[in-house]
Amino acid sequence: MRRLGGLLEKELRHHGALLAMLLAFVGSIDLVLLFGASVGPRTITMLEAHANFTRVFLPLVALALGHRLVVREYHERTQRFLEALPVRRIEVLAVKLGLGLAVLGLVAALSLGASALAAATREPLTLRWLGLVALRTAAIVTTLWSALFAMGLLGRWRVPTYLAIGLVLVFLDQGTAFEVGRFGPFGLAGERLVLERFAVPWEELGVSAAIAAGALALAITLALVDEGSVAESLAKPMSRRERIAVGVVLALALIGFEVVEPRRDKPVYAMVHPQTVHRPDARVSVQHVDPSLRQDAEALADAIAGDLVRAREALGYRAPLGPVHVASRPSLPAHARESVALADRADGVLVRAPFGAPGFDAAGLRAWLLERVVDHATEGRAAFEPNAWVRAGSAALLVHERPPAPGLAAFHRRHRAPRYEALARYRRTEERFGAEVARALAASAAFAFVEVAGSDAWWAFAREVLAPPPPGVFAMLRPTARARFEAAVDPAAFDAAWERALTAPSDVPRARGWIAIEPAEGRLRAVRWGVRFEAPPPPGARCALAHAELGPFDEVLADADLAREEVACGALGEDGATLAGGGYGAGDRALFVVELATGGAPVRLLAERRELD
Amino acid sequence: MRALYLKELRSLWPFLILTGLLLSGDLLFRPFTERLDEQTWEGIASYLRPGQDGTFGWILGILSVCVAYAAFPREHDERTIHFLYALPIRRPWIFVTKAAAGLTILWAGVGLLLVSDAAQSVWNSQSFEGAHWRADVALSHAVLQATFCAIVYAHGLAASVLRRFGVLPYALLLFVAWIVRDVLPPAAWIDPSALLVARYEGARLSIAWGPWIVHALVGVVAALTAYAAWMGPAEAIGLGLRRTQASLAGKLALGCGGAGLVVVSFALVGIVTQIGPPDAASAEAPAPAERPSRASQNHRTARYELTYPVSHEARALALAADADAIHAAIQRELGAEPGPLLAADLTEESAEHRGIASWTHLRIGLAAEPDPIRLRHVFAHETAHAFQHTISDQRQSDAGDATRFFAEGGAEHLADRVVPNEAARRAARAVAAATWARHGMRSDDLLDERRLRERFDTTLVYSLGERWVDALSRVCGAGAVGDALRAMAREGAPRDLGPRAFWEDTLAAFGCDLEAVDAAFAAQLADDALALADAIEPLPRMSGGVVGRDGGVLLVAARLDRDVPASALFFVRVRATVDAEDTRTFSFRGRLDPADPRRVAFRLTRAVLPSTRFQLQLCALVDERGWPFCETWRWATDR
Repeated sequence: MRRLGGLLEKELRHHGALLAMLLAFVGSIDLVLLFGASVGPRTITMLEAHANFTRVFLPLVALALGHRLVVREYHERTQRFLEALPVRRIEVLAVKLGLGLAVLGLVAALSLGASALAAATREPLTLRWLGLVALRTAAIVTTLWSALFAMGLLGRWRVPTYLAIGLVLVFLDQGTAFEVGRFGPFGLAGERLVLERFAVPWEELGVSAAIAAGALALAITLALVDEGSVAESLAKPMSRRERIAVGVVLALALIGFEVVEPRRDKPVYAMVHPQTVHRPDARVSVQHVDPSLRQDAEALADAIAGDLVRAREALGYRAPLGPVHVASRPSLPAHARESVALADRADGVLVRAPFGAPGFDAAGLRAWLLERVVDHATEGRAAFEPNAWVRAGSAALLVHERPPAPGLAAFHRRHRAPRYEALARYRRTEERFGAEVARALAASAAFAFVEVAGSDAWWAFAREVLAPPPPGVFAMLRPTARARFEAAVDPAAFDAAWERALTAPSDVPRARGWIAIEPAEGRLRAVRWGVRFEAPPPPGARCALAHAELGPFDEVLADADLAREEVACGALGEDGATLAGGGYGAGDRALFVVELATGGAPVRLLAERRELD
Repeated sequence: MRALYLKELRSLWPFLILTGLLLSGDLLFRPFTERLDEQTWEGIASYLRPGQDGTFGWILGILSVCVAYAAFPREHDERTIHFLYALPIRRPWIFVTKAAAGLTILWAGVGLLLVSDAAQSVWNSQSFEGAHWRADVALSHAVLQATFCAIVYAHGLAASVLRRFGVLPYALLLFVAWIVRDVLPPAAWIDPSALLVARYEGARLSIAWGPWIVHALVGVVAALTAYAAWMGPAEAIGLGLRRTQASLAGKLALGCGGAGLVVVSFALVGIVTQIGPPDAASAEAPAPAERPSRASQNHRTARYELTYPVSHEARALALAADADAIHAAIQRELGAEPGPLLAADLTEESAEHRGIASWTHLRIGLAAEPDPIRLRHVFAHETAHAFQHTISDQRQSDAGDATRFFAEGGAEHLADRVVPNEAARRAARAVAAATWARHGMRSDDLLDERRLRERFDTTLVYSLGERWVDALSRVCGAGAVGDALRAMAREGAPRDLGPRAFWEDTLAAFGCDLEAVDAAFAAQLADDALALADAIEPLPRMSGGVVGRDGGVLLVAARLDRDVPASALFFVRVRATVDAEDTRTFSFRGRLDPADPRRVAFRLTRAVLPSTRFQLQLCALVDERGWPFCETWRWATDR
């Protein structure tokens, strides 16, 4: 006992100043935390200051203590002086372990005591509640110190070991069902550390005790085996080669982690509502909810199932297409559809549409849905801008006997001569004229291609463009859609056929949209917009200004990203209307779109990306 | 000197490899895993994204500190610094040369990042998403990153004097910075990692020069301190310190002095935070109520331990009389066990909220709510939260962004059922229906808190959330709210799902279908828009923004598209970035212009704005029983 006392005295003499400063420092931190808790808008109890201290600063203090009591002793080889004394190694170890535990315990107790004192002035504290917080804190202190004490004996390998443990924990947490946040000491330090007032966390306490025991066993083994030579050799400084190797392994591990992206299995999406028509062989589900829509749902499911079979044959996909899920959404306008991004590839495609509604275009939905299905089959490559028109054209050929919506394609022709550029820059065409116009234009081009070169040539062309892509950079090495197009069809003959197809009259009223940006108060700018019709607008026609603030980098904006102000076209006077909601100022970038809807999907009379002066 | 510089570079080259791997390591795998012709520049370079959090700043900062720690400590500990002192080079130049070598490594890493990101992003030739790379933006970012490295490097040199203990004061300072940031959002710039958060005006990078200059000056002070410590009187100081430490008085002086320093810093923080925005947090809060007394009293019921201010005893006891009945009704609605006793602290005083709950604790502002029905509603709402936490075994809060609308909407739904208040419910539903229709919202905007926060008013989690939970109950049965909470806590429930997948899985676990619920929700809102047309009509659309300055005040004006009742309240919310939490958003109240009844003027104190480039949102509270109607968030500039 005297020997232990002597050792303890030596440790206190050696580290006393540091420990005193550490305690003073910790006291100051506690004050800061208490202040933070008292002014924090969502503080539920002042004991949260102790929780924050335990989660953030206690490990830092433990690291500092471990460094001072263990790492430095071995690193500077001063433990040899201790070994020369008439004391056993286990006694040296016990004194350091006990001293560290006592200091850390004292620090934690001070933190808890200060928080409890602050809490007592404004909350009803109970002994049981405080006892539970103290019990959890004690278990955290013991486990933390035992683990760091053992790690300190790993010498130069302790930092790589910390990193390795950290990576493994992240991997387990993200890649398996194991929950680090609820495991043993992490669970003890979780949200319930200062909020649980009744239940004793037996399981977490048991796990923490086991970890502490394991760490102590490791520490004793390292310190005592072969008369302590293992710990001594581990404490030698890391050579440059070792440092580089560790750095490179770490960086590669991080990169590997990024590439592998560990993810737990998740259930595959399925429609579970009883009012759902399933075609399991075709991997199609159509949910109708309203029993009166059962027949529509069945007809739609059968038609989609047929489309999937034909598409797979025509495009030469080995794997079956889908799964496809269609949900009824009666609140949508008859022409509208929504695509929903599902979490995983295995989930397939989910779309919403108001099937069964008056004026609903089932064939239009099927063609649009096929585009989503082909996107899914090609991991999104079919939506790559140079390929997108081929996707839309193929879907139209599979669903329609003749070019759909010729009036919309002719509307495009009214503004632009048919050029391949309008197809190759499909997103620009979509933004300028509207998605349905772009789709109709692509369909007219596909039908013109078939007229010139035949159906087999189209599908050979489409199979090449819409093939599932090889990984990464190898997809870029394949010939472009344009190169394949020029090889598959005579461009001059195609242009002539396409031009003929677009001569049909358009049913879109002749009108011009306009936008005027006018100075308003200060730096504000008023946005006025309107539509000038060559003839009075048809009854029921709706005009709209869609707009969105643009970021510093251009991107494709979906309809859902645009704010929209809609009025009856007849109500728009010569002066148009002023944007009522939102507000733009000088220097802002924005997209402005003037739309016209005469019963079906809206077409765009004007679309401009502007930087406001 | 050149030889010394080269020698330093040689010793630091492993850091160059590490820096290159951490900053540009994606070059090794991205071309093989992703199609570069579909990748955008900002998709590859996360630091370009507007308002992106400071993660990149942290990585760069830690790298800079590591390189700084490699400069002097080891040289001193192994006494090899004396070899350098023996060279015919003056000490300032030794310091400068070592620092230059460290910065060369860091700046080389930044340069490599610039090149590797450019090289990966030039392949995309699509109409809108291609050709994003712009030399001015790229170089501006690179210069900012290089400056940031230099600032942090200077701090690293200073911290390394205390070896590993040098990290502790910086950890404390960062912690203080976080507290200040939470309490006083305009002071967020104190956190250096926020320096690299990108903000743009139009297509141009907007640089907040003030914070950069302050941090650069502090960096210079840190570098001078490091010089003094490492090259100047370091050894004399060290010797003096050791002598001082040898005596008990010296130990005490050092300990108390160090603690005193921290306490002074703490006091300064306190003063700064007390200054605060004078008219900010209270703009949306209810009218100031009688303040509760400091003295409190406890009261126990079968299900609650209540603590209330003595000054409001009658109100508290009246509430306590109904408390167990409210508890029982919510328990019945959820089909749950009674659960543990709840601690209800009724002494809360907050301009931010009427009540909060966590696990089995409730805090409610009894004094701020004189209306007994509304007080019971808040009490029921917070009690519902406590049930949510215990039934879901806290999985509801673990799921974070996916569940906030359900937590708040569910609590509102239950509180409405237990403490009906038809007028308030009608007002809330009118705002929900109007916002849904006017902003063209989709259910995914509600399901994902991040999406909601990006563009919309986050208080919609209450009104729209209540409507969604109502739809859930109608489609999947009256007990569906409790069933959903139990499904979250079930054995083997998958974790870390995205919001949509989370709800698909949770609802499917008890035979309920998310699409069916969403369809009913959307249909209900469309019906509400018709049924509540008279309540929606008075809600004005607002357009506006910054119109100028008046000294230390930024002038914001909003134009209304219709006349509004004189009792309507207007306020503008301000936040630094699209992902700023509600507690870092603050509000200024506006006034109707007497000369123009469709113009609202706001005066924003410039000193409390989060940065020169910020977001604002215009809101109008027409019916005080409900929620405000708000336009979407927009960017604005203080100029």
